[in-house]
Amino acid sequence: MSRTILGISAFYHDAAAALVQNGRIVAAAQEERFTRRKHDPRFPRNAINYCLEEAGAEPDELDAVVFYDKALHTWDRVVRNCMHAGEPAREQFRRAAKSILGVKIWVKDHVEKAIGTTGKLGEVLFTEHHMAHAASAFYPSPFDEAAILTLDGVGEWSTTSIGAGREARVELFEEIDYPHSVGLLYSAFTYYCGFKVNSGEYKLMGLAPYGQPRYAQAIKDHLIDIKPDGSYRLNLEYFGYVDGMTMTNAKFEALFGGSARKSESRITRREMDLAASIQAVTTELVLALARRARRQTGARNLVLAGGVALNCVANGVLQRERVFDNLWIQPAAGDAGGSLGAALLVNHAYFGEPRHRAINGRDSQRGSYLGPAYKANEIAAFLDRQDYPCERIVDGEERARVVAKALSDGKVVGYFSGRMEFGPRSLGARSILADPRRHDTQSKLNLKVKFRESFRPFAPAVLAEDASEYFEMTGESPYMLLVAPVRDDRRMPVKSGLFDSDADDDMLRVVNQVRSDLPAITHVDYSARVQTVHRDDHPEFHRLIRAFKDITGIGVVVNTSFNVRGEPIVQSPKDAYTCFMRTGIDLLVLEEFLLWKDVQPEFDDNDNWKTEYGRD
Amino acid sequence: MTEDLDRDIDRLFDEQLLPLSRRLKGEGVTFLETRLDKDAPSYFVRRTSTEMKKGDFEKGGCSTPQAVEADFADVWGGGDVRLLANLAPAMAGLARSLRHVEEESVDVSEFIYVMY
Repeated sequence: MSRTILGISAFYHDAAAALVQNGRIVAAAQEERFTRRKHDPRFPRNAINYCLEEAGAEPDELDAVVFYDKALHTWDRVVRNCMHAGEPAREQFRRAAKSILGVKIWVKDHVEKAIGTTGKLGEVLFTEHHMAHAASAFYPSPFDEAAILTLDGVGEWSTTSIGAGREARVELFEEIDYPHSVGLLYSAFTYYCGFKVNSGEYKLMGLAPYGQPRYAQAIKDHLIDIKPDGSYRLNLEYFGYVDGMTMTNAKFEALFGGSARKSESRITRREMDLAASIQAVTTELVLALARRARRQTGARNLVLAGGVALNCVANGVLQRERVFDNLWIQPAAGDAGGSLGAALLVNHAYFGEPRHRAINGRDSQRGSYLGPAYKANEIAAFLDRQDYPCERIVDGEERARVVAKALSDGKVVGYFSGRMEFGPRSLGARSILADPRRHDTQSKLNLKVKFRESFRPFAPAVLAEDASEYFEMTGESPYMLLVAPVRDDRRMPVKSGLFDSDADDDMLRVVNQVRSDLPAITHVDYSARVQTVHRDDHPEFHRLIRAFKDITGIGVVVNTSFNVRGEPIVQSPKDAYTCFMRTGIDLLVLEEFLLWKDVQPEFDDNDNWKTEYGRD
Repeated sequence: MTEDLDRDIDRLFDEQLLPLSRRLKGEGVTFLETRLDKDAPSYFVRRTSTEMKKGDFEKGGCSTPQAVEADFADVWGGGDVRLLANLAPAMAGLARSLRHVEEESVDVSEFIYVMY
């Protein structure tokens, strides 16, 4: 039977909406892309409107509206937490009461206010948080059956769960409950190293290769007790989140030799080593949990979701260790993807609809290009209205050649092509592209385009069919969720000793060393966060990389998100043009329109735009 | 307005939550499992229900202000802390007074608190 189901995630981080029709994922988008507020947690009215528009559905035609979390159970956890902590939890109780009792339990009100109805059921449905993650990992995967592993900060009570999916059925067998959480453990180190919790975790991951895991044993001795079966508990004596408003406490600081790093202050060897240490422990834990999932289910395939599943270093090790034959990770692994999982779970478990896998044997996430696209006439109207000079190249091959030539000449390209990505990674629809062969690309992109920390690496987008020529990997990584080593024969020796002295923590000297014939995407440990680009997923992007290869012999481009630091990834042509004019991007590609920076009129901009977006 | 709400929240915290917490702790009730047990073979918790059935989707939020007390009582109706059900009337009253449908605004209000 035909079903149209709207999934919603909101009020935590990364509010989003997803729409599933007849079991097919029609649309999904994060609210931040529309409101231009990074990680916007507010009710996703814009994302919902987009999803309905994409599906051509009226709100009253919705068979079900489903929310990805059960706030009443979250409240149970908050109450018990506060009763455990007593007086010190007063402020936490106050804030949580406003948030949960004031807003989160009244989802039905928000839905009705936003779209005027809760659809044909007349009520909003709810999924368990980790069930939504599990469903988002299993249903779109290319597998008939798979083990399921979900890992995040916390959802209601659960923080880690193991289960299995088979055809239309998703089950979770066992879990680790709050306050024990690998996600919160990683976030505690994110906080302690001076980055923002819930958004700075990927910075900590990028910092890890600069350091040595010299604190890993201390973490295992004092902070976490890991059992041989992969289960674990945290030693709450070292954390502040149960009875206070901070992730860590004085005992944690004493263990690691001082107070937390202040945001934007110099990053020292301590932070690099802490990052390396928590990464090592996280990877070990993910491997142990995966082995448990394999033993429990006997499955050959594993699917992953939850915020920790965005840790592509751990994912890469998991794949190379071959705990499972095959691995699939939901690209919107964090809370945004819960909207999609909730909608899919309702389709199969509530309505009992059968599951249909993609007939080509690939996944049904459709490259995660699930957001808005703009037609040529819409872009032409925008450019005409603003009178922005542009060149129109309708022929796709010719356009790819021109853009590839610009890249090979060292130009930085803002690339806007097709439907926007769902999930935190830019995959060629809203990307900034550059030449990976140039030794100065990383510092140029970080300092003149992205305005972000100089240590942060860039990722390669490689022709799927050529990936093994550059990286030690087999299979695909279409969602940039696996880290793989750059092949030995492409590596170059680096000067040793640059970073050996405890007193020397000048990261730029290390960053600027050329490590391979693709220096811009080779991280300090010779790793790369790879996106394999398949012709079927994004023909236009594939064609561009192929054209770059025709010119340079290299089937790889640098691919980073189309935004500046703290800004959500661009959604519309207007967002893209604004970002283009504010940064050192040389060429903007808006579908078949090319805009060169040097012929654009002076941009009338708000002088304070760099403070418009909060620090991420 | 905010001060009034804070006062209501603090009152519930001081007059209901803390006294009940002290009493139950005195009776040996554990609210959070925080102990490390070096001898335990596993920390995994087996789920009593492994999949979501149709009826499970229908619970999770509050549909009307009138039903909210029953919704809380339902969550706390059994298990190890059924005495928490005693909190349901006060919690329901607080929820009704805090009930707040977000307006479209440039700013994220204090009612949306992302814990972690």
